[in-house]
Amino acid sequence: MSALIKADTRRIFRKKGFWIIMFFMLFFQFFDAFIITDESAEKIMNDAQRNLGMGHLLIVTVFVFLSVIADDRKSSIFEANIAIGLSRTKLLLAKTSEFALVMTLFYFLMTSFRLLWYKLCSVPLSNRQLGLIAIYAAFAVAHGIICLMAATLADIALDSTAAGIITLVIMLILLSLVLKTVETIYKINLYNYIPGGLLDAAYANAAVGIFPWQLIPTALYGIAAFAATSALFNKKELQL
Amino acid sequence: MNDDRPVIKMDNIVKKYGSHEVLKGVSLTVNKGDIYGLIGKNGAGKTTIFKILLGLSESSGGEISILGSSTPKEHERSRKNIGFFVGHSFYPYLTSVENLRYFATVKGIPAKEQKKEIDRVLEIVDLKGVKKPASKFSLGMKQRLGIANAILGNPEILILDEPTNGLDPQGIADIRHMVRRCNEEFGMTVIVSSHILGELEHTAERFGIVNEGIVVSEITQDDLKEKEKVIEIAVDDLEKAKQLLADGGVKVLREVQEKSSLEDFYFRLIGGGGK
Repeated sequence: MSALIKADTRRIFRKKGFWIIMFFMLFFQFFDAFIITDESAEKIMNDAQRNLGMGHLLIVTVFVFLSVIADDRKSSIFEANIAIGLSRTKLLLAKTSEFALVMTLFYFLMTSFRLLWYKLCSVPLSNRQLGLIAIYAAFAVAHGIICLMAATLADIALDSTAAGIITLVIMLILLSLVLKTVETIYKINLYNYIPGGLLDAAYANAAVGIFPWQLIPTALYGIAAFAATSALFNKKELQL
Repeated sequence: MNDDRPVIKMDNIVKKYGSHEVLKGVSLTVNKGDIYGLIGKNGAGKTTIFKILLGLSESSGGEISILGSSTPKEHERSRKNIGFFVGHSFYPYLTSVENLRYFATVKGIPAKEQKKEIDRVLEIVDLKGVKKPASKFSLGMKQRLGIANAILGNPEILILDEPTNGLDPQGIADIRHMVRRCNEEFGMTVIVSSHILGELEHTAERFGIVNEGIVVSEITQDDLKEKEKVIEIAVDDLEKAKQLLADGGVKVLREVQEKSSLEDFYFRLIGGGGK
């Protein structure tokens, strides 16, 4: 399993797309931090959170999904790896680890660049506020990983890369918008029960020094997504 | 080369998709050192047999043994000793070396041995020095890269599903040569499928004939000779040869004058015919 992770990571680094996406994401962190340096601390914090979540999170997760899952599915590499004796569960575990690795690498660099620029420009943020931005980035990574696991489930269930990408768009953007609209109109709070809502609540707790217990149900979502994908994949008839 | 120890044994394997039975009790034995040809028309069940062997599909019934394994866990371990070619399983944006390095890492070949092993297999398939990405390969080069991947790490068993599909006569002859080399030089047991009888006849020593989901016969080249009792000789003077046979007390029962095969003619014309 570790051999597969090593081989895949090296392969992803060889993709031109990896460096192009990385360049744009890092450029945007500089650019965004550069244009808001004279704003208030609260505004800067909000902008940082917005730019590490939502649209940017979607771009990174779509790239990670295409590189880790779709490339393999398109070229029958899943089948090749199973045929050389890797168990299906271990294959999925390796892929989940790759989600975590590549997402973490992206967000580590994006967040580091942003914080470094804040420091260089003497942006009026305390160390605690800078730390909160880092925590927000870590929670964004967790959110991305869960959504990627759900996208893998959709891809395997429907044999469709498009289904995986649509799942990412729904889970990262549309579901939040719909549930927030439902809350506004019908006063029913469902948003707090989905991974994105739980992680927002966890961040809010962390920001005021309360233990972010919402991470536990969030992790359960991840375990459930993995278990469902594994159960489905183990029964799946693979084609040559 | 063959030593009659079975490396693959399938006993009464059944595969159903709903009520449709694709395999209806396949039994076959492949011995160590065999080049085993699996013959059958398209849809006969050859690919399903390979899918079950490679763990991509679960049989609905029957017993299977790969290098002595008998449980699913043991099958998984045994599959580490199988190399296979079942199509173009490689990343199109990587070069042949990069693709092979990927699979060498996954197969657990130590990093310091990878270069030597990759060079070795690229030399066998004649792809050494090719630096363009696999997406820019011709069909023949893709087939050869697939075979290079299959023989990476010198597996005990080599499974080749229709390796000559879509190739020109030179490409077919090259693949045939590679298969024989893997068997004779590297001691691999080879199972190769095709629906082109002439091609397998030149490659394999034992044959399993699959028809409508069942192996209807397993025969060897020797069996074929026994059954047919036909030899083919080329002579410069046919009348004199017939006279000599008659003088030796050999009765010629049947005389068939054959034209050369198209393949023979082609290779005489352009040269080559396997390296």
